[in-house]
Amino acid sequence: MAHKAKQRAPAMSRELTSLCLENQTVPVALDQFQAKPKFGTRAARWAWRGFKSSARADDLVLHHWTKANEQFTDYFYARFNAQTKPYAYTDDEYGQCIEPLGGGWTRAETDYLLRLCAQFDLRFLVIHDRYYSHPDCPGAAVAPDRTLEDLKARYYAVGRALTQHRAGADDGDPEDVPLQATNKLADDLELLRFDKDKELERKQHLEALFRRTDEEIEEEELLVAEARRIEASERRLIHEREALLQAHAMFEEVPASAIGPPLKVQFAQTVEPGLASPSATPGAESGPKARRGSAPEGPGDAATPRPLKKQKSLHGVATPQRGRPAGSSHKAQARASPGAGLLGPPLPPSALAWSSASPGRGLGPRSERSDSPPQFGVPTFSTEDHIVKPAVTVVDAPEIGPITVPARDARLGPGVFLRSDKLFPISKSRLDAVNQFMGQLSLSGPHTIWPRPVMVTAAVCDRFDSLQATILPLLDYKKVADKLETEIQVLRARRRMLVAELGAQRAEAILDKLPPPAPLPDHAHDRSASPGSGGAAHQRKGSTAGSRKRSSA
Amino acid sequence: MPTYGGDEVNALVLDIGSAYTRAGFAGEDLPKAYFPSHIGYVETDMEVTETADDPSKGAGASPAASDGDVAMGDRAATRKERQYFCDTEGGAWRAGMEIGGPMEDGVVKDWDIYEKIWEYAFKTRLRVRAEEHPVIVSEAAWNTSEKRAKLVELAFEKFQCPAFFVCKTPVLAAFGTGRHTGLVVDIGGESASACAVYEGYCLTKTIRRQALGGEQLTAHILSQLKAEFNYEPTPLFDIKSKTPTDIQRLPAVARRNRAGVTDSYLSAMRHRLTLEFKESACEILERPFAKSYAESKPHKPFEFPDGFNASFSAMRYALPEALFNPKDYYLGPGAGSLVGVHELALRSVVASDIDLRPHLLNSVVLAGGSSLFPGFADRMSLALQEAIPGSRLKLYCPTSAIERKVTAWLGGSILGSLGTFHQLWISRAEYDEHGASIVDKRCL
Repeated sequence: MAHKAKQRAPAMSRELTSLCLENQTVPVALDQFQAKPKFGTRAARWAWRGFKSSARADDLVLHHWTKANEQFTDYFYARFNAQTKPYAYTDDEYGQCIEPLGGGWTRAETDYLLRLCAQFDLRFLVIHDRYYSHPDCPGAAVAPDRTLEDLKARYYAVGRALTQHRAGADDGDPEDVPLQATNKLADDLELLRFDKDKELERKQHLEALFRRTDEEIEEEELLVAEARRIEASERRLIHEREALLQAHAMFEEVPASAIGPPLKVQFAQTVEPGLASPSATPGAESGPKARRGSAPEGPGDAATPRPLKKQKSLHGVATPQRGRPAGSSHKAQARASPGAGLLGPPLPPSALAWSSASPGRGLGPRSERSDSPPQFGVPTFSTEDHIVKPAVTVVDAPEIGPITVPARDARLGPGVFLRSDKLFPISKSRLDAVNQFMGQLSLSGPHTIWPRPVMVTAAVCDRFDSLQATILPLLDYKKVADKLETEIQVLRARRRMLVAELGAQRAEAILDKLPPPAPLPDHAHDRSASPGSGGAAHQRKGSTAGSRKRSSA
Repeated sequence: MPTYGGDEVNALVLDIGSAYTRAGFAGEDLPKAYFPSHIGYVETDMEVTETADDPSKGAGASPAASDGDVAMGDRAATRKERQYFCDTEGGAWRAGMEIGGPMEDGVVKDWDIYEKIWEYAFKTRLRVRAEEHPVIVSEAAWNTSEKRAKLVELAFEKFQCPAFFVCKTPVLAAFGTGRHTGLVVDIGGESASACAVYEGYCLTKTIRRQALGGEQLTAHILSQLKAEFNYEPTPLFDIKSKTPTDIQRLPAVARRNRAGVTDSYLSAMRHRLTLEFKESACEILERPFAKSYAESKPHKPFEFPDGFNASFSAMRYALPEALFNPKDYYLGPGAGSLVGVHELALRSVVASDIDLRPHLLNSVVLAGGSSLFPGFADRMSLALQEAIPGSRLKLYCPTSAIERKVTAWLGGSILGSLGTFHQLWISRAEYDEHGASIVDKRCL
């Protein structure tokens, strides 16, 4: 069956065959007649031919197979017969420039050396190896115990002397070749430079390396590994530090001190020593109750710059209003359920950090927990360590005298923190300005991203904080002042223009009709109270004044 | 035509070692002929008697041969004619036949035998006429100028070669593994040597050698067998019949007890016999020999042709340990002055320039038949690395046993088929012009 299929297959297509046979047989590979390939060309003829090589001095004929149609004028491999041309010198040259080199070399030995250099293609290892056993060795003319470096030094010295001599630069010291003169001579001389002593020293070092024992190598490797480890950990430390600082910077945008004064209420007797805040100090002096009473006045009356727009970004509970601040409500809850742990709804992390803008800010919300562990382990305040919890209770038992806890200690929650975190952070956007300002005061701190005092004692930190707290509003004022200044300039220019248009007398008349401007002190007070709003108000005023002028015009 | 830099001119390559001779055509990957360098000769008074069964004559000839030419001179009255028997013919027993090699300490000692080997290789084995082919031969790195001159004379005067070249064995061995720079450690038949090769030049100052090769090791094995089992192998030619014996029992052999067996022949046959034991049973431990460790390795049973059989355990490791630790494991003559082969290599490295050392250690070439013990390369590597802990070490040795035996020949084959090499041949014309001294100028 299979045989039949095999016979039938050539006539039909494969598909047809498989249909007819209904796949009864497996496909069979057919032996197909392979015609003998016909090549158009004849096989190349090869001939056994003799050849001579121009690389040989004699005319030795060796034989090899070549293609019959190929003709070579010269032996193919003769072209690879590269040879080193040794330095050659005339008697004159030897006397003039080589003989003065000295070094205990005779003419015969120098000749011999150069001949070897040519023969061994400047392989000095081989030259040195065969120096005394070579058949051409002039025997007695050769000084004994020539080292490899001796030979090299002599060769390069001869090379330099000859090169220099032929360039006619006899008189100049080769070392004096000026740098910019990168001529061929200088290059050549540079190539022929050989410092024997340095070479010997180098080899000594190599020898010492070669002779190291296993223990020495191990020790060396250990040392290297240790050094690498130290470097790596240092890098890691710096990196971690940066990361920490960065992480804190995340919270920087949280604003200011909207709840500053109320927080002081929680820490009833909190006094911020050294904090040059006019708003904080009076509040601290008064009793807790009084402070609580004074708290509502805080935002409005404090001399602290408090941009209105920032208040919006405060967490919900802490929306400051002219009324009861959020902080006190927390505290009220805490008093209601002391065991509850948390005083209020969980606060967003941003609430942990407090803007540094205002000297009047205080305790972070998490510190309000009545049962929070004492986390103020700074030795300076060690006596007041335990006070935070009592500070809460103080409100209930006012007979206990005022106790002070530094605001920056109270600010931090439980857990691990860097001590540098106790300094009030400043927002990233104002960092440059503060840095610049500190630079102007020639206060140089360590090179950290955030300005830090050098000697971080409590007193220094207090001063530092107060300085920052002064700088920040100052910067705000300056900004507003700058803005106003430009506005005034613009208006003045406008006025000049209008006056010029109307004529001086008419303008005078119109101006006389106008009501007198508001007294300046008011203006200043307004501005200083809240630069943002004040500025805006002023602008409005300015623009109304302008429009008034215009309308009157 | 110019493919791979090769251009074959049908050169012959002849590498005569102290134990084996390799002969072949340049450009081929293996020699056409590989036969023992030790050849048999019978000294007769002019007439040739191949199967002469005269015991008195055989007995008279043997001391004469062992004393060399001086003894021959004693009998100047009747001129001695030597008849030579190479290769297998030399192995067959003949009454009064001596066996001798051409080399001693790596250099040619017996020029008659040396010449006979040339003749045998060209005429009988390669079947070529030497006058039609350029010839490359190898020589020991420490060959003397006089011997080289004689070699050139032999090539041009006796064999009428059109061109001739002689190259040092370490250089050829390095070429054979495809390197031009390296440290060649050659454990040959009669000597072990280490030598630095730098860009195709053998550095003579780095040659370190000692007379501890395959032959000495074989003798050592024989003496150890004698000491351990009180056993002396019976050569094949002397065995008439044998009966099986128990393990470690002395063989029960009926001997032929032929007359006219010379000492040299007997000893050569014994060595050839032991070769099989050496090659199949002996191994080198990968770390210095320790009896307890060696005994934990698998045992190897071995039966000699005369029926003696034993299972070798620690002994088969202890025997070749003589190569690495001759002071403790070699009992032959001069053991005190011998050092291990790794030490030999090390001394050679230290003798070379410091700049060259990394290159040498990075291409250590192992050559020679005695480096074929299993584990030899590993041990060598370990021993060297321990001695020079800070350097990178790399061993090059052909993996196939055959190539390792003919490494130097391979190098000659490569060299002789290079297109650029053909300018280096010493031609007949040059020989005629400069005399034999040209070899020292050309073949460096």
